Amino acid sequence: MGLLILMALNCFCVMFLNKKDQTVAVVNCFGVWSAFSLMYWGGSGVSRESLSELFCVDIYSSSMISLSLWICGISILVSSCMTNLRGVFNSYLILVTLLCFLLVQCFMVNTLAMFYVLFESTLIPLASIIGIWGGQIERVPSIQYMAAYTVGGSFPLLLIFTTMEVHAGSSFMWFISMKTTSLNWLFWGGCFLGLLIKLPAFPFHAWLPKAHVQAPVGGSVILAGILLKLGGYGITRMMMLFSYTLESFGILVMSFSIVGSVYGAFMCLRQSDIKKLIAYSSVSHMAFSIMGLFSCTEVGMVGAYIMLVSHGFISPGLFVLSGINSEMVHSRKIKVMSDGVRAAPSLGFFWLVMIMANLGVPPCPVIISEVLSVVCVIALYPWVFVLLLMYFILSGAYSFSLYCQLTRTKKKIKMKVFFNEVTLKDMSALYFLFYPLAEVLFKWDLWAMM
Amino acid sequence: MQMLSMIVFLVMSLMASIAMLFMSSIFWVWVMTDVGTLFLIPFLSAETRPKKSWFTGVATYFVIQFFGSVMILGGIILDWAIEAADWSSAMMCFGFALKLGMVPLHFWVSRSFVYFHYGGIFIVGAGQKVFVVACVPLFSDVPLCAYAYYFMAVGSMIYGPIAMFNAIAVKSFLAYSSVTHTGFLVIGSFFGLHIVYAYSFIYCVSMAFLVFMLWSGDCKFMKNLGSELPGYYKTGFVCIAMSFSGFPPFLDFCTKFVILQLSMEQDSTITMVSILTSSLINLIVWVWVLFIATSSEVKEPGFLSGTTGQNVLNMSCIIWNLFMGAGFSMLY
Repeated sequence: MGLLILMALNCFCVMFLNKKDQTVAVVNCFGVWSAFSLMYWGGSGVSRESLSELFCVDIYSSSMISLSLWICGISILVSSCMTNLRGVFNSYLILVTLLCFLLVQCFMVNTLAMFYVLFESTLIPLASIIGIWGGQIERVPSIQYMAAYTVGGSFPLLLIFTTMEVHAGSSFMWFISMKTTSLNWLFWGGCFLGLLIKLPAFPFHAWLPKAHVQAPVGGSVILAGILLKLGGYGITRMMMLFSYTLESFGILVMSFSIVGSVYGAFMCLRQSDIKKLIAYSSVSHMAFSIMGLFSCTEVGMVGAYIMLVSHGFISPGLFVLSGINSEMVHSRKIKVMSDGVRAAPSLGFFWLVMIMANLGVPPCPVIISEVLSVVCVIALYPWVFVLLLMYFILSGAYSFSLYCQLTRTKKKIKMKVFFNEVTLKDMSALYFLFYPLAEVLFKWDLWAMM
Repeated sequence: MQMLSMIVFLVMSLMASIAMLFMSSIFWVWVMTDVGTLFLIPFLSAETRPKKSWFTGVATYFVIQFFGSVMILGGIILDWAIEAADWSSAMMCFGFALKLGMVPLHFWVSRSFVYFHYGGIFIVGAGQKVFVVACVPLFSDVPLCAYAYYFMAVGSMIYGPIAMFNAIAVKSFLAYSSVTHTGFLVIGSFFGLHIVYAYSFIYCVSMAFLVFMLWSGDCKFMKNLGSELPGYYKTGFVCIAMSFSGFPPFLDFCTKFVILQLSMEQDSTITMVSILTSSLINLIVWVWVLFIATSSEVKEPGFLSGTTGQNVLNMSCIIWNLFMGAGFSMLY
């Protein structure tokens, strides 16, 4: 509650600043809030600082809260450097701050009903961001896809918490635990469908590439950085609430995820649009989180959260780079973006670092997550390793292909770039995304139970 | 003078409709319903610039309401003469369903609404339907009629948003929105009249805001909504659109949630599925409308840029849609 009050008070103070200072002030506020949110971090169990009637926070919530605040700050930082945000920038500040406020509450609330309301409410600011600052006319169908998938998929969850409210009188998440063996596929499907769509899990991933392509850079940063993680967090809470153990439904989901990881990597290989490539790469990476979560092992849970948090920094980093690079050449086509890399060679270095981080090259924490998730899945059925091997080969192939296309040195008569210098200010968002990855690397066992 | 006469006829229609709620005999219910409808005719006919189209709309509305009344009266007489309870109830049920414009008897709604003025759309689409829906529970003890109303309501809830998607004219869009909400009202009537009154109050106020904003811009076609809707009302319109989309925590989500909760208590699976299906299609439709309304080729005056009255209306609309949902949930 203290964090929310601090956020509200800071926003109120920022309102009185000069419009030119508001951007810097809001970015600084996000930094302060992220630091404040570290107070909620602790070991296993509920954080004492967070206990109240409405809110209850443990390590899973607090890591997501800190990630939300950090990513939203990065989103504003990177958007302030972009020239493609039309209209009043202050509207963007308001929408991102509102979205962050809703997200933080979503990760803090202790009832399923409030979680659902806030889960759906986060769609509104994001849809507004895409609708107002999206590049093309196709942003309307992309918003419709996103809304229909998310809202439609979470209707069963609406029915479930309504049933809890009607029959049990409360949807309090921390003490109600239905210990019964009579829960069937329909129930688990209803619990997890909306959250799996949010992640997004194969085969419900179709909305993500459309949304990413149409969203501005800041919107993509938030979508990839934190909004997808809502699904993973929700799955954790539902499993805790209903004492989920390894069910046949979970094995089906894991099977789809394994296929989804290979599918995502294969689709990345075929993409010419950088944003779609990063979107499909997100589908692949989130598949590992799903595998870890549904394996119902501590190792799997740790692996899943490492992936969720790491991906929350790496994927926005890729979008930031793609935003800077595509602004130089006014195109998202990878082959055209190589002109920008040739004009500003430092971009080539940053692309290499981010692609390697995305691939999971040590010391990036993604490799730890992938190893832990693979261990969980192979423990169930060893021959799955064949598919996972395909994934590793394909992910290496698309990463290598992407880097080669971006840094090709084939001479052209004229380079078509709009500016040929990338300054420290442009890259500041990227630096702030690198640092937390190091923290995750050193604290990778944070989500372990003991 | 014309405005005064419109108000007089409207008040008289309202009084007849309120009186109808207190009648104990089906015959007097019919009388008051018809009196209310008759007083609406001059109200609907009033036009500042008379043109042939008003006649088409009012005539269609009058013929349909007249036919519905004939069916109701026929049912009453049949029941009185030969005591054929089921057949007479079926006739009366058909008559009321025709008056309500429920699927599949909704064909007249769009045809009439296109020619009405916006005040007429609000009164016929929201105001009058509330009172006619209150007659639906009269047939709850006749299984044939109860099932007929139930499935017509389900059909209206699902068909309405689909038809809204295909609407070219704004008035046609409002007509099908009215069909959708009629379905919700009739479903609510199965759970109790208190739900009907609460839902209809909320629906009437929301429609009043929506219709007023559309009237002030003289909006004709959906594709021109962005340019025709006044800039100082756009924020309010966005709130209404988000509310009608069914996004929590806006108002319309809360009302539909209450009906969903009640249907869950009654273990009514078909109702739950139809509510969710309708909500999903409605969401897509209103996202589309939202985009159209907020896109404009011309830079327009923004929030709080109108007169005091316009700003008050805009703010009231925002507060109504944004905060009344929480209020309704707490009260209910």
